[in-house]
Amino acid sequence: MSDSTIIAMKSVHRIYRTDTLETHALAGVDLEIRAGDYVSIEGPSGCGKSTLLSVIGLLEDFDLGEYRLAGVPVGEIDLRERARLRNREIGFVFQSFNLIQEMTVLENVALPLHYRGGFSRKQQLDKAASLLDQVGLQERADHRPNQLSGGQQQRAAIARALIGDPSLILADEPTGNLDQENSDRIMDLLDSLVDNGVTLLTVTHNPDYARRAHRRVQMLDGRLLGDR
Amino acid sequence: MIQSLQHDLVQAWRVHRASPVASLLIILALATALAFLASFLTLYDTLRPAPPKGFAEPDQLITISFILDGHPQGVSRPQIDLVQEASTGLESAVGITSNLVRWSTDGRNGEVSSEWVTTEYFGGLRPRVLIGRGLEPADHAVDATPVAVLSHRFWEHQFGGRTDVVGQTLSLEIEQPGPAGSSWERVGAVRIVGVMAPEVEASFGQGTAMWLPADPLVSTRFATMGVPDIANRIALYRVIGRTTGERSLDSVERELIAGLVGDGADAIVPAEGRLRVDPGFTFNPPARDEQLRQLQLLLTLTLLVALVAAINTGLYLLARAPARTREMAIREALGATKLRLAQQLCVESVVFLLVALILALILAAPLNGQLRTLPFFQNADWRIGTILDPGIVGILTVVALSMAAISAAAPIAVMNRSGIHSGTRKLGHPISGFQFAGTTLQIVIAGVVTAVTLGLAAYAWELEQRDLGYDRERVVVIVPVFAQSMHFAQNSLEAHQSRRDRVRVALDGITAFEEIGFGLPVPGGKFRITMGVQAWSVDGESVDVQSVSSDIGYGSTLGLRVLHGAWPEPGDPSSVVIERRLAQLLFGRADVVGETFEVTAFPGEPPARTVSAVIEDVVLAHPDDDQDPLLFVEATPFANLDRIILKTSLSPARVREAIQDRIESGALELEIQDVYALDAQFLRIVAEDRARFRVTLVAALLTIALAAIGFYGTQRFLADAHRREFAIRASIGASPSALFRLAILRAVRLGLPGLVLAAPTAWIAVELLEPGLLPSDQSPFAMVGTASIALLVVLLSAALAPAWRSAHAPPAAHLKDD
Repeated sequence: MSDSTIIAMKSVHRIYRTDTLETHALAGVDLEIRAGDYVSIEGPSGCGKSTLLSVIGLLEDFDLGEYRLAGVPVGEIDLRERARLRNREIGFVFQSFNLIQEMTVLENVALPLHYRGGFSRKQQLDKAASLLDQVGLQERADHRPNQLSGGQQQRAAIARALIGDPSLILADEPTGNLDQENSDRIMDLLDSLVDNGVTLLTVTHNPDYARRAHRRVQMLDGRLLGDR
Repeated sequence: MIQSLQHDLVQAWRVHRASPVASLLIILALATALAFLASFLTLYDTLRPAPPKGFAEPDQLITISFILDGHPQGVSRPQIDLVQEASTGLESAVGITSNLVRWSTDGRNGEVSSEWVTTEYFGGLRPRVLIGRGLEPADHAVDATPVAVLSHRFWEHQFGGRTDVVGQTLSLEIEQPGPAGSSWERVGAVRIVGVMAPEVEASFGQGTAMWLPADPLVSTRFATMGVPDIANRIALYRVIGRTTGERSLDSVERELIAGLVGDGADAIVPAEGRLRVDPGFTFNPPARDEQLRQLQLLLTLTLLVALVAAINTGLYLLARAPARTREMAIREALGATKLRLAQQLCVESVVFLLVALILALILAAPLNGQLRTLPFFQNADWRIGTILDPGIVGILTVVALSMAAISAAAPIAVMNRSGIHSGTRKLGHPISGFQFAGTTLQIVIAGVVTAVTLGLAAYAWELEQRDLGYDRERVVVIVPVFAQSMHFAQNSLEAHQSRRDRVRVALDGITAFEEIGFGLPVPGGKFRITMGVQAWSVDGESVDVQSVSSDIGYGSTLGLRVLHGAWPEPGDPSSVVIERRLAQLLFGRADVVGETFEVTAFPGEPPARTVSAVIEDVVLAHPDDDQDPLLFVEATPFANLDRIILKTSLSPARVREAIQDRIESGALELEIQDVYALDAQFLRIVAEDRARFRVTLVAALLTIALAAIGFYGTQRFLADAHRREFAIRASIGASPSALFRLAILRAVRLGLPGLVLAAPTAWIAVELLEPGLLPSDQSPFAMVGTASIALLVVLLSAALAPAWRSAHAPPAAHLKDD
């Protein structure tokens, strides 16, 4: 594992248990992603793509194996440290945007800095405004998310993902709820992020978008089958 | 229609069964509130003034009470005629006195309550007689053949409802007071002349077995007293009557007051007394007013608890709303109208309330019995009544349906806001108006009830801490019966001294008795003698004092604190001990040892008294009752009823044993009527206050618990409804502690309006209740402040678990699209 390795997973398992059933959502995943990588994970529904993204994004625990994020052994840190790591190292882009309806677009984008601490309210909002400018939403800063189109909401979500200068962007079906035109704009935006040195890991069903990635990883039944 | 109702009932059962513990808790809370409501309604119904049943024109029947020092007084036989003559609006006035009698016939016998009535009872009040006749004027002659009218219940129980009972005879005995206590005197054969209709109850209280003519029985009863014409002098009647129906009660009352209150020749009560006319028959109208006031307070309290319970049911049903939004949306998508869905939600609420109502009616009967034993309801003049009275069941049903409507309103409102088109992409339901209003309202109610409870607790505590001027610890009081006449004319001071000396000598050998005293009344006792004192320091103005028979041991045993002088030696009837306040009243100062004043003396007593000692003020009865200043004399005319007061570590039971030994050995000639510890007696004095506190405490705990459960439910609702929002926050780096703080902050924000409103509302409630029910020295600020802090702590505690749940929910599952 080199210094530029952001994600290093060895034999990671994630098992869902019920009274009568045990499902291996991740059945021994080995994955290494370096800074600047653009990785696309592909696979059929239910193969474990979203679970893998959740585990990588520290939204979900894993049961077995080893996982280091930016050199930090995730299995050994507490919830508070995980939250700190998530805040500093990861930016999420979800299929359903996941903006908070009660807040303005500007406040939504600024929120990660609020949780990071060390930024004044003005600094938070200034930086959020600058990012909205970058994604072409400066006019919509004071709107509520439900006043925006799907594409606009997703651009706001990308701005929010970027505001903390994370080392990794995780995008789970980022165009799943968008029409073709908006989907293309979002993917162009993500491509431009990679061009600027951001590490991007996406899950997508769209082969055209998957082909944009530098590296395409196939997944089946909780296992990574290797790069294509 | 029936099929759809059936479907809704099945669905309601499934929904409630899904969370059995919560459903059971809700039903229990509703049932408890409804059971208390049913009980208090029944108590109220059986206590409130109502036209007596079974009488012609019952609206015209009244009670005329003569009140002195807050208590109704009896009147003598001739005074009943004065009442009759005092108002043209009065058709008849009847004297009535209740007494126990012993009866026997054909080998059966028993002791029952009877009503002795004067001439006008049957002719004037016109009760319905089922069989035979009522009492006629000729039956009231002193030498008339004794006759009786039986109650329907007694007739059915003892004579099997046989119609040939008229003409049969009963052997009757009545209680006759005598020198050595009472004895039973045979009246002879009493002929049964009639049976009262079943609806006619006793004029006062729960029941009577028979009605008897008063004049001949009263003459017999007091025949042995040796006082001429005592039957006409003794004031043992309460007055009931009938108005002409042409005048208002107020005008009849005014007319009676003009003729019978004051200093006139026909006056029955002095100017400081009161005469009042009440509709229906009531033995003790001031006490009934007080009891009704207590019941109104308890009913209000119970209605508030019921309201809180209903709101809680709504909040509980609403807490399931996020989970059921999709179910409702699917139903709507399948063609169910909003009205149809509302019907289903209504049925779910009604099922709760119906089960609770049935449970409440089952619980209410024993609860009703228990509540009647509360100290402030003792001696209440209950009529016969039942929880299953159609009126009460009707009110309960209306209340239960209103509660169902309240509890169904919230989920219906939320359902109206959601549906097929909303929900899936929303991050959660914002809090509804019902939740906000319901939460606020129940916090306000809990705040008011808590503040009132704290006020009552403070008052009960103060009562127990108050310095009453005597020691209660290790004091045991014996109520003896001495074999001597009860009439003061036959008791000399020497006789009292001699008796006290004999007892003292007999008990002297019992080392556990550290001190012995004699006197009457003792603290907590009801006996009192009032006499006038001529206080020359205030130009002959007369003041009333309460006279206390006491020896030197009375003061030392009870730890009365002597401020000046010393307790007089035995054998000096002109020397007295007075309280500080009497000294101030008479002489304007406390150190008045050696001063002399005159009293309105009983025959054989010296009118001039010299102050031997001045003691600190002593409170004999309830600490907050008005009490005349005390004058301690060696022996009042009733000193033969002296209590023996012991300073001892022995329990009352051991004291009784020790004294019984002396009696059996012949060293002591008396009977023990009662032995009790003085501190236990004090607890009996303040029992009403303690009971009021306990009842309110139960209501407060229930209200706070319900408010906490409701608040918890709302927080759970919010936690569920905002899962996705919290997941988003977690995904961008919010730590669990930051999310926990956010959830708590929102809980505080939700509870704050309630807390802010609760404070002034509680303040107003405490201020309104303070003159009568909350005479505490504590400031309302302390009560309201403490209640607010307590509520805040409870609400925060209720919010902890949902907040923790919000903060620690795994975010991944909630970030995916629905």
